[in-house]
Amino acid sequence: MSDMPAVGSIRLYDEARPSLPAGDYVLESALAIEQGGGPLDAPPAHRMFFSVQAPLLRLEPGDVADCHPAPQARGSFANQLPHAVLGRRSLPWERSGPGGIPWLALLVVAQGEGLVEAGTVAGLPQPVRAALGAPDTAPATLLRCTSGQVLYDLLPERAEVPLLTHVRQVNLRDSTLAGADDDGWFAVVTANRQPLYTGEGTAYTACLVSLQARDDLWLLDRNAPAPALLVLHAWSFVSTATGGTFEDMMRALSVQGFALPLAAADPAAPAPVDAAGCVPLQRRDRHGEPHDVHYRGPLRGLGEQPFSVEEADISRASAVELGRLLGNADARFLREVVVWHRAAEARERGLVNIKRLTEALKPLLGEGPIRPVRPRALARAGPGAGQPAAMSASTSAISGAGTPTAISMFINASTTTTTRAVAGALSQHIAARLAGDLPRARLWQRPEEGGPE
Amino acid sequence: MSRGADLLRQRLATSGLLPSAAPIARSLARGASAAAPVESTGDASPDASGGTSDDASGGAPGTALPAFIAHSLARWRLLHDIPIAYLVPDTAALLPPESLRFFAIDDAWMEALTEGALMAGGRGSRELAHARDARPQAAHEARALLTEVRAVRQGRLVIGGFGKPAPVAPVAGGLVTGFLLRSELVTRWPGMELRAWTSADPLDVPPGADPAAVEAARPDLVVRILRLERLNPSLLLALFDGQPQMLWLEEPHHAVQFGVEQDGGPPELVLRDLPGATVDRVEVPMRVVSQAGPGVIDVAALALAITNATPNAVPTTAAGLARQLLRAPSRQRFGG
Repeated sequence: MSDMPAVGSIRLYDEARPSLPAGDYVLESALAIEQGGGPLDAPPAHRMFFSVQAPLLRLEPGDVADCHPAPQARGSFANQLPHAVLGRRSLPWERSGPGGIPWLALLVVAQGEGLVEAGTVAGLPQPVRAALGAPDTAPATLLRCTSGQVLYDLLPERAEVPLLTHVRQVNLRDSTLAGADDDGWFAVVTANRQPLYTGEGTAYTACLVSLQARDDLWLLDRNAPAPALLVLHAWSFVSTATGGTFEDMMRALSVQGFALPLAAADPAAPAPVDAAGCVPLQRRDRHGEPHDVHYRGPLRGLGEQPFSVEEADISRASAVELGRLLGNADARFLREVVVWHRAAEARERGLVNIKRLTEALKPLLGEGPIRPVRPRALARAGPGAGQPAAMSASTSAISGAGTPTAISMFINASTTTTTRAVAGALSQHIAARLAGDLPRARLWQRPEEGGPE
Repeated sequence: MSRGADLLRQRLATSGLLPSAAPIARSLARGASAAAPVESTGDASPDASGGTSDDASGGAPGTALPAFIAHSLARWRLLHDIPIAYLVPDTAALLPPESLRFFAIDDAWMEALTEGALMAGGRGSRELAHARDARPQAAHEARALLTEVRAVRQGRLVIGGFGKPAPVAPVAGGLVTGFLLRSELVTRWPGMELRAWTSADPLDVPPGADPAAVEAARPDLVVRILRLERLNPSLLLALFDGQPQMLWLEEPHHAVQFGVEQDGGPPELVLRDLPGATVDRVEVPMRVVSQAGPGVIDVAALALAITNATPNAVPTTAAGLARQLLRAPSRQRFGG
């Protein structure tokens, strides 16, 4: 990672040869043990077999990072050389063409000059079949040029093949490939032909062919039919007079903010979004009745827009529901959120929330001052007090007169395990807390330790 | 003004309820005192500050949000896992073919989603109340993690890992902007490169500038990319940390075209030295073909011509030939 080129820079290399080309290997190891000049018994020699693999009959989609011009593209590509970008830098050297040249070459075949067809290995010349070692029935894509002369015209010279293949390293930090296979190394195989426009949109097929064991290609009989070539990857495109380049397509884009009310080109057509950026939708209720509702997503092209509180606006409800679905769909999230809820609940049970109590007691006590009471049998605070006595301070079911007794009633009514005596002590304690400036406190209290009043 | 905004104002004035609290208020009515205002715990009050540090959500005591939950919320804030129909409810009208649409992500929408996610696994009033109370803090934590999501997705960072560096604080308080590009461009140039700048001023970022040089000189001009992903073969989503003033979309550098120049006459190749200045032009030798169509280049002769044109006649190799054939990647500017 540290050896990345700067963003926007490209490094070019002639080749990247793997230390072992593809093939089957035997690793022999033996020990020689000597003592005082004389050999001693050694363990028998060890033989280990391994094979280095490389693509043989086709490239997998993941091997080809990019093709240019893009498959099925139409445009003025006349001034550009088609090329295939391979995601593994050593791929063109993993097998060997005649004389150690790369085993990949890119041929650009115009319509009428040859045919790419599905076939089997049996369609290849016999010496090539023998060298490949693949069964004759194995499916393979084959390129058949219309004549030996056409193939002779198109095929790069043997010395040209290495010139057309190189390795490049770029920085992919700010590209869509970042995160996937983003070491930034690529091998590029370039064609030796410009896809010229010769009227009416000329269709070309770019074929990445295998040169493994193809010595025959440079000893062609030009008058004989062309031998079939093994195609590892092929794509086609159409060369036209104008358009189709990156700049042309960028210039043709419609650019504006998302979901702007002005989006409708035809003023007579109903606007796709209303002024608040909402899209009208149909909703069916439980009885099957259709309702007109509107919705807006999380993307806004306008300024800040609060949620509408209309019944017909389902935006907020959709967001909440989607969040709930996403949370429930993720097992780990669900597990952790449940644990988190339980922890919070356990904590809350052991905690008297003064602020909420004050809020809740307001209708009881009015706005008048709460009488400070010196706590006598103060509940002990601290973690060492054992099991909390499940005292909840929820703000429900408050009735009665505004006295400490009422507070104790309230606490008593809302808990199940606290004795009345503890509640009495607590009520005084709470009143003290309410009046004083003490921080919110945890009240841990064992029933048997609480001082009865 | 908009109808929705007017209605909202009226409703706010009469009910005193924040709109975001309304559905919760209904669901909580069972357990809550009618007289007590429901929405009161969002602000941390002084008397609550004596608790432990994870109590920042105010009156409702919470436990610290687990790292995975915070990270998931940040991930969803960057629209990961959000179905596209929620983003673009009407594709034909909102995102026609060959269009580029800029947007900002609605924080209120994401807060609602956060609230829903925190309710997962329990529909009791206690969970609802807890989720609602914890929402501001959870949203705050998720916003702080936005800059981390990409590294985690790329496998370069572990959620809540030990000794993990603190995430880079998002600029602009977690405002996320971005664009959706629906175009054949995405299909043809899948590895398209993107740069975003805080300034559209040509004095700050000259049109032909080397992005690495600009970044080294003025790091403040670079807008961090939070997400850049092809959602489908023709749809690109990009999200930024803050609001860029200018965007560059470039051809992918691993597939920069090889080209020759042709202005009516024979094709020519412009030779450049290493800094990139033009030093010479050579005519591209074409192979004489008899049956195949035109356009086949005599590569060996071209390499020789390049060798002869360079000062010390270093033999041209694959990399040298590629360097001369490379054309500068196209760059499209938006904004500014």
